[in-house]
Amino acid sequence: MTISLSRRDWLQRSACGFGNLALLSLLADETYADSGLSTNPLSPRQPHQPGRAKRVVFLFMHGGVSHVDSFDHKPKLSEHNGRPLPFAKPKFEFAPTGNLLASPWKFQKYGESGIEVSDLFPQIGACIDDICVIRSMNGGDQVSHGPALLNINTGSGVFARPSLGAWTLYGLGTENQNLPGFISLSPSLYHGGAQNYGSSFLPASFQGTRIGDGSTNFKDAKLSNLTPGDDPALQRLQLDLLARRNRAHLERVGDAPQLEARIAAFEMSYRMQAQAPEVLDLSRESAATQASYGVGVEPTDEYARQCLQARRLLEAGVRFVQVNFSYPRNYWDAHGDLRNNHTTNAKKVDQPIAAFLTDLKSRGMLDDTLVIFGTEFGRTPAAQGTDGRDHHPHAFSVWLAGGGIRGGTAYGQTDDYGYYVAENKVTMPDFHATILHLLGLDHERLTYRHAGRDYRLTDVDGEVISQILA
Amino acid sequence: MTWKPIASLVLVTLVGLSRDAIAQEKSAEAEKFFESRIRPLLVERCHKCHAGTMIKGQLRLESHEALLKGGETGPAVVAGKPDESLLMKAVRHQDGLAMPPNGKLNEAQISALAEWIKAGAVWPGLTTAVAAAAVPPLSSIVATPPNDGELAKSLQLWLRADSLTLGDGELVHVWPDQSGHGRDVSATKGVRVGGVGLPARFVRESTLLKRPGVRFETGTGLASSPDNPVEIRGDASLTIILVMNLQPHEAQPPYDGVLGIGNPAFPSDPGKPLAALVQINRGEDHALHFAGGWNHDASLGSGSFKTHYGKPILLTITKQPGPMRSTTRLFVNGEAALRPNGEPLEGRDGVPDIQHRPDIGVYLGKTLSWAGSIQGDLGEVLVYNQALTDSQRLNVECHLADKFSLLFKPLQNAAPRAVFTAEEKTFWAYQPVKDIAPPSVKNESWVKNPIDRFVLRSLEAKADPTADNLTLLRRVTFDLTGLPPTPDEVTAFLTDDSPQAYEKVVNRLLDSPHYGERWARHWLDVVRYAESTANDANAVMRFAWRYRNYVIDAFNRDLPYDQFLIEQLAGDLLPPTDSIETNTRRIIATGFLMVGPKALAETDKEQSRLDIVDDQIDVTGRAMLGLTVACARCHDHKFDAIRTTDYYALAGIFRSTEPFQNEVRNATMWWEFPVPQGEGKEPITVMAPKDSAPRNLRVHLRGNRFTLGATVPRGTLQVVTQSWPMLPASGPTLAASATVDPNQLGSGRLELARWIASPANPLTARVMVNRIWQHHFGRGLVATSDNFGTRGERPSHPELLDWLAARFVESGWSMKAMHRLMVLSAAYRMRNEENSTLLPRRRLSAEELRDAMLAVSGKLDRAPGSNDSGEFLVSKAENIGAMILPNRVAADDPYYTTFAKRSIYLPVVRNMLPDVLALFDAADPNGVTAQRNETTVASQSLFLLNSPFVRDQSRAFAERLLADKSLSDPQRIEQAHRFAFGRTASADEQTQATEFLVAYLKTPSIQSRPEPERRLAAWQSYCQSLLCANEFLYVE
Repeated sequence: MTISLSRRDWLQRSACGFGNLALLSLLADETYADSGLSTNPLSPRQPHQPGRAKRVVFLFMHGGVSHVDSFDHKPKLSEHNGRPLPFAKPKFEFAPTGNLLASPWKFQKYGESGIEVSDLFPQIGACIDDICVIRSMNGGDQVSHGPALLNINTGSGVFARPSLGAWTLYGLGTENQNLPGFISLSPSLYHGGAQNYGSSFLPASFQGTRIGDGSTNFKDAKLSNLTPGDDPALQRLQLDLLARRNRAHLERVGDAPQLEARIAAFEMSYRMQAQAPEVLDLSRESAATQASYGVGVEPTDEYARQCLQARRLLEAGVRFVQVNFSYPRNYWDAHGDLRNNHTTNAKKVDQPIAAFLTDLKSRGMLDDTLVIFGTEFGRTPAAQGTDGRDHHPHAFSVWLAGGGIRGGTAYGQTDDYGYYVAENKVTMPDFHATILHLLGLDHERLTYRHAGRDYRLTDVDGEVISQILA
Repeated sequence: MTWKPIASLVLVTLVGLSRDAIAQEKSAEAEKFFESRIRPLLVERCHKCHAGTMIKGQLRLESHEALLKGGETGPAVVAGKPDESLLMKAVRHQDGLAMPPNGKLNEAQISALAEWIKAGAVWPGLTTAVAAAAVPPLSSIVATPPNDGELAKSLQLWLRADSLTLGDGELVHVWPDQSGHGRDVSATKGVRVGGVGLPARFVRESTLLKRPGVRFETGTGLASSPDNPVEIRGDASLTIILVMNLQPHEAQPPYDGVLGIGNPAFPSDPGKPLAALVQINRGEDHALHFAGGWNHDASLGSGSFKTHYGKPILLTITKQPGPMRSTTRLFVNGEAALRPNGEPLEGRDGVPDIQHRPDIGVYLGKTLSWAGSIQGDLGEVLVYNQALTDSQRLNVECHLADKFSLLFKPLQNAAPRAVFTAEEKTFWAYQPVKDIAPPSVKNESWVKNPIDRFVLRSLEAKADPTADNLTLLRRVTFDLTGLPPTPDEVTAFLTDDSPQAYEKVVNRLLDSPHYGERWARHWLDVVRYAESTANDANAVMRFAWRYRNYVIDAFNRDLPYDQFLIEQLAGDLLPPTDSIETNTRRIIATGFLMVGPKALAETDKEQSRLDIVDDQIDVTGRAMLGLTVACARCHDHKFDAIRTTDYYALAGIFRSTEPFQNEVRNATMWWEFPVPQGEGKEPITVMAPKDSAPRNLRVHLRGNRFTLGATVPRGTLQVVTQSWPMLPASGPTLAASATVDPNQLGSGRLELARWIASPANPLTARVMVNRIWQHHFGRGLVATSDNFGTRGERPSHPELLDWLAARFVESGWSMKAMHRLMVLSAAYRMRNEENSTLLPRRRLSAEELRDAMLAVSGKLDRAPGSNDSGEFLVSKAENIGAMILPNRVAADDPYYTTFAKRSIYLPVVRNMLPDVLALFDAADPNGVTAQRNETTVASQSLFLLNSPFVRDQSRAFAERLLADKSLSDPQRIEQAHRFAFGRTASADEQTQATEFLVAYLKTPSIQSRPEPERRLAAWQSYCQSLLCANEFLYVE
């Protein structure tokens, strides 16, 4: 896996602090002479400083999970149900909303920490002591799904930028060269589509590989071009013939790293053909494990498969896995009939996510796996129509668990109605800076030279939220 | 200490300096010191909290003015006195102050700050700001609607042309008052006693920079009712503001009655004029008067209005109670108007006693028989019964200036004229191209053309022997057409013994339509061509393909490169020719401006427009000029001599061109319109922008459109223009309005295009010859082919670069001439040596790879593509009940497997490129791609081994070989090598192939398949191994 950027280009582009790091890694790779992968952009790299997390899983909830109905309990909302908001609504609204709308769900205190979670997520609630809820997320002015999705996944709702997973891969490489380093499960074809896991101006090797898409049941999802066109014995014959031809060619033209790399890449893909199906085969999990996630029963089957798949991929050394609960088959966008929408969706994900956390923990993986539960925005505390809520980027909740996270905490606050952030606002750059920090990457030093300047995931902002770190 | 005395101190100092050459040099040094030591320090360590919108302690450290004004604790800096400056105390951690909070500055930084303050705290760009010190500081001007807050109370009349809902050219019988007082003005003929005034006419795109206007002509006169006169009587305060563009005319009486209040008749008391009139007196060579009646004027004097005819202007008159002359003030475009001799107004000192007439109220133009006609367009008419304060006036004027894009002097004066350091001005890329004679060399026999002289002298490359003929043929055929040579072409070349054999090949290739298909793709990479909008909707741009085909055609016709650039930037503005085809082609060319990404879901539509402008600036800058101009959107370019004022000068040009037609639901539809093709022919639909009302933008501080700075007139890059002037545009589009400053009336796009495409532009020719070189030799003479700035690479061979640029212009900007020159050189024909920087081995591009497979399999459809891609995307798009059609085609859609035309005709969906293209590093169309990456990853091998496309081509290749029953298997193997590599098979290759086929057919798993299928499978597998071979994938 070479990249035609000369080594000098490569180092120049990853200037500003990252250069030395990259240099070290590239020099180290020289020892992999036998593999011919002297400048493999995906080989594992040391981060800027030791990270608390080695891998990331991003449980992405498409459509906008209502914060005031899930992780941000607002008793005043029930108290003042049907009354107007006593202060001004934001400048940017997606559609007009009416008066305050009480949450249809009750909240319970969970765990030793006693953090409140609504009855939508009893099983996640049971894991709350491993979780840090951020109640003060702010998504800027991005009131539409597309820009908001791109904002949380790439740091920009407006310009094409590399995704969080691509930056992670760029910073750290990946552990298992027989599998893609960044995999997105069932990403939506909508609202930015592949841009949400793309590499943009970073080299294409850092882009996410998708398995399935939001329009297809994950049960039927495949990794493309993985199925051998011929049976293995026949393909082996073909590859041997090819290798002989390529080696003869190499002798004729002399020393050529990129030609050697290409020879190696065919062998690697042959191995990938063998290993990936194994990793992708959920039937290798015990019946008990499958049952704990909710595989094989509705309504949990699909998301359970995705979570279980994620665990298998992480275990096999994949650096970044995004587990999408995606439009159009799955969607939290409750403009009306909030009660039905959120109940149905929560039932699909509550058990799989809780089982996933428990499974990671029992395997000792939770310590160095960062789990993110996120959504593109929250929903308006004021009603849309009689029983719905509109898009609300001004304040919403996400949660983190695992590697380096102080479990059993809640960070930030919204006002009495959950309308605006009242305390410890977390912007998207702050959120991203914190994730990179947990991986040992300094968001100000993880830069890539493009179009005449050094780009960062966090552009010119971002502060690590040190209060949520363990 | 307050800030005023310091400001004047600095003013005096700088004025002194500007008159003194030696001191000027010193000031350049001081500027350099500031730019190298101080500005970066302030930006890095202070601006996070003390600039832009997040201001702590009310302290801004982003301008000289702000520095002196200081924050909550007082002025930050006392110029010349570091020890008295709060800034120094803070960074030295004195008096309980400690800044910056994240760590004390080091000693060198602290002493640099002290030195700078001691030297007067010079802040470049200050000179002009100080010159305009008479006006309030820029930051205090806030564009304010005329009826905002308190202003509404004194607003007596407000006529706005844009409030009219009439069709273009319709008569304005009544122009409704928007002040809330109901003082509508109407034509007076037959309506008012003695009225003669005819209705005016509504003009949708008036001479007020194409904004709506109400057109007055000889005889036009509108007046309000006398029953509801404005509340201005006696010796009153008042303000009149007019947005207008008047033309000179000859109608009698010999004065232009622009606006009148009260009775201009002789008063009984000669010291008491009875009216307030705005008029232009032709008898005094067009003097502008504010008249109280006969001879009671406050006048700007003889000839004072002459320079204002034919221009959109903002005229403001304020009057306080008291004598006419001494209490009236006139302002043009926000700036106090003085008499030509620089003195205050002339006139008489009568004290008015304004009295209303019984026949008309406020009146405009020829309302009654004695009134003076006006000719021209009025955009707004405002009357207040109060003399607005300077601040109120400037705020309202600013609002109107923004609305009409008038050059508002107070803001324009505030735009710092760029001052460049000697280092910036002498940077290599801005210097004129030097035409240097090729050097003489010892090894004359190696030289095939002058390129080789430069190469021999200065490249490290040795005079390597020429590559063998097959390698050379394969190289030049892929390079020029993106396809492999056919076996016949190989035979023809290898058997041609004439000395012109190679030259003939080059000519054949350049004449082939496949040349354009290859080289257009390089251009499409740099102009971020795609057929969907990206982002949320990723809507299909159905007619983008016409632009793609335009580019292919332009290369094939060898359209001169200067013309090529002008057509893409401003083809729609070129004077029409007799050829409908040419005119249509030029409109299609402007698709260049349209095919970029668009954020349709952005709620803030103006923001979305500005982001498109940014994309247009970025692509124009990097593709055509090799400069990263877009870096200057939020701040002056950090490395190059490009200022925010340059950015907004260009942004004004692009913002004056409209890509969108109207808003539909939550999305916005761009322009698609039919272009008539003459009688009896169907019009064709194109995707192209339309020139809209021109506007000058204000600098957006930190790129934020809600924090506006100075207004920048539309223009080009100052650092380049300083050495030679912007070229005036010619042709009927502008000649028709020759009396109007051309920079004000049009968008300026054509002027910009001509400026870029001028032979005198030092960048344009260099950038393009460098690109052509890059695609022939693997690496540009400037390795960063889209960045000729300081952060780009320096040219490895500046003399060769300039020599080529000079030849390019000399050849009439012929791209084919450049190709001929380069590929006929001995340098290009060299054998490719190990690790050569010249002519490195290259992998086929994604498109070449796909096309080569189709060519070898025999499936390639060589016909050009047309609307296939757009129509396919539309057929698959989702109907959401709006004009836009979101893309729903996946990267592995079967269409991509079966599509047999060349890859350039494949649909290009942003963020969803076909697998075959994305996997092999095709350009990401979200931005400019000057040079593609060349990665080698396992997913590519998986594609080559298992994808339906490669398997289909392998099968077709095998079928092609098996079709001729008369061939023996060894002959087939021979044939396969000819197709794939253009050469015969070696004995080893014959043996290996035979062994493979035998082994394959003996494998147990294949036995169940019937015979013809088995044999085909074996050959298919064999053929696939050829298509996957490095020899196939790489060009030497």
